[in-house]
Amino acid sequence: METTLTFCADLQGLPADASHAQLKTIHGALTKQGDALQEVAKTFSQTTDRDGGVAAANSPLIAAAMEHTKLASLGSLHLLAAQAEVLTPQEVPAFIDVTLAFLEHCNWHQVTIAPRHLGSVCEKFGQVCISEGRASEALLPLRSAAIKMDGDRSSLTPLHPEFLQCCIAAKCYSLGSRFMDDRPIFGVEPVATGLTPVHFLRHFYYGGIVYIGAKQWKGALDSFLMLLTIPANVLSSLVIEGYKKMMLVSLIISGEVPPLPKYASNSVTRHLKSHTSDYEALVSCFQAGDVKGLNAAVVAGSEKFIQVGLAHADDAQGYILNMVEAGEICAQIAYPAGTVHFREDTNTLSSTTMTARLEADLRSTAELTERVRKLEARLIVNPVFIQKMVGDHSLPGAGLGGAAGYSASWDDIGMGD
Amino acid sequence: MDPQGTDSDTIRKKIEALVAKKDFRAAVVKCEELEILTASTPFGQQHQDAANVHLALLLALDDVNNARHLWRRLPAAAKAAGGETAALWEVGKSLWKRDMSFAQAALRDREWSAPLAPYVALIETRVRERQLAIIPKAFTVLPLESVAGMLACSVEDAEKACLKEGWEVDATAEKAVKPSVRLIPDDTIPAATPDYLQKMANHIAFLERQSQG
Repeated sequence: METTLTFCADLQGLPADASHAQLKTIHGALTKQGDALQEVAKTFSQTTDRDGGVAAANSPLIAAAMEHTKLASLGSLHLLAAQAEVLTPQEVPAFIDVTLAFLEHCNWHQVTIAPRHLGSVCEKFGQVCISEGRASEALLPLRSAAIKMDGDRSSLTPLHPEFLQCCIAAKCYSLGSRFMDDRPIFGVEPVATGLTPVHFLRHFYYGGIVYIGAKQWKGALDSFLMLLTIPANVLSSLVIEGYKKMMLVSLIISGEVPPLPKYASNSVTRHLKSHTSDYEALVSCFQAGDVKGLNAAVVAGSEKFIQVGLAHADDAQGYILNMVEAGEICAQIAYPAGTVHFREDTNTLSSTTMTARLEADLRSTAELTERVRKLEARLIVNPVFIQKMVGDHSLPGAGLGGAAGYSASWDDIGMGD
Repeated sequence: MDPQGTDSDTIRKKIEALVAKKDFRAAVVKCEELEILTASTPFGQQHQDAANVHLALLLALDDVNNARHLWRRLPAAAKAAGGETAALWEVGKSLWKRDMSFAQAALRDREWSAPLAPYVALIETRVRERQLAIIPKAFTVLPLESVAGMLACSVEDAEKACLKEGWEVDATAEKAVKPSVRLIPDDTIPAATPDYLQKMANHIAFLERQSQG
């Protein structure tokens, strides 16, 4: 603890634009103190427990972190990261308050030296905010932090999934879906951001849920598709849950569930179906138009999402009006018979709005092509990648279990540059 | 995050400006920002006023889904029966069920406070506009009574509205209305400005490169 505070003092003495190397040295030394810091926190919480569990004083780590938030942000981050590992329920409110202040005032130049520590503090922060029912308070700080950490690289950071999970807990779906729309992900940089495959899976799983909450089905489908097609050697429970939701979303959009794309990993396509038999039953009833079977499948799965059937002709009219208004169908109702005529879509494709949309889509396609071209140019000269493509036809990272398998393949092909 | 409230005051002013400019979508985005900015302070009158404006704007945009999430986010104290927020949500519920006449009645049958009144008037106008827009799209012929029901007005007012739209109202006792889509001025051919041609040329060049590659 004392050593850490000395480092904090050193950090305070550094100029605002201290060199990367200087900060890196201090970061390395502080990382070695991590276990000792956790011991301090543990001893403190054991003492307070013996005294009747009264949290009269803050944990020394939290108090010191608060003190150094602005000038010695790197030291403060290490203190918070150590505390996050051994946080007791009594310390949660103080931890939330200090992390809130930290995320608002910290010096980003220092903090980005330790992306993994920042990720673990934010993960704990998000979790405890949710369990304390304070998720809405975490939204703004987590979003700003994710944007600052990413800069303009359009890459995924460990803070993205934390923000989205808080959006779900706080029921702020449109905020989350806007974030997904405004900041598309074009890459991963595990070295610069401390990103792990679990972050990736969580991001796209929560992203899909956020889009469902906002009733943006297309976005949800795209997000779940990203989740399902990440190269993987093992099946993650996030992938299974994501696939279940994707099936339902597909039914809502198109009335059918398309097969998984060919580029989905073998281990995913092969084993997924055995975990989702209830949902498969529901899908086949839906596609067969078997309303009775569908209701039975829903009841059997004890998931109360839908009630099928129209009670009255007025209900049908309401649905048709909603669909016409949303531009989903072209239909006209004729009184007094009350018959409905469905027509070919007469929407003109040559209006100014359509031209503008076409232009915007072409522009974004051109931008994306350029990104893919650059990535390809980087990949084809990467020795590890060439070796894998030429010498070894088995899956990258095969034989390594679970998450280790993913990260090996990411780092190997130089996605971390 | 905003102890002095300066940031939130700036956002409130922006919301007013955007509403004045009729850019309701952008105003809703600012309402969301205001909500998360003030999330760490205890829920008070300012929060309630902001929530009312937010809810009203979502209803005016017919974004009932997000209005529903906003209602779910509010603390129980803010949803007291008889309050304006609860009354607005009653309108939201009937919009969700597409019970337009109930929605319009709920909007008219209440004395709204001065800050909220213009927003309520806005919802009323937008609901009526939506109804008028959907009729020619979804009906070939329908009785005048149904039009009156959809617009939540008397048969006489409905007839006036139909004639104003240029729809045929036949003179028989049933008064069948034949709505016709109003012709939009022909804007199908964009002006061939040099700027536009340059853009097109870029796009074609891009597509050709792709087809060769």
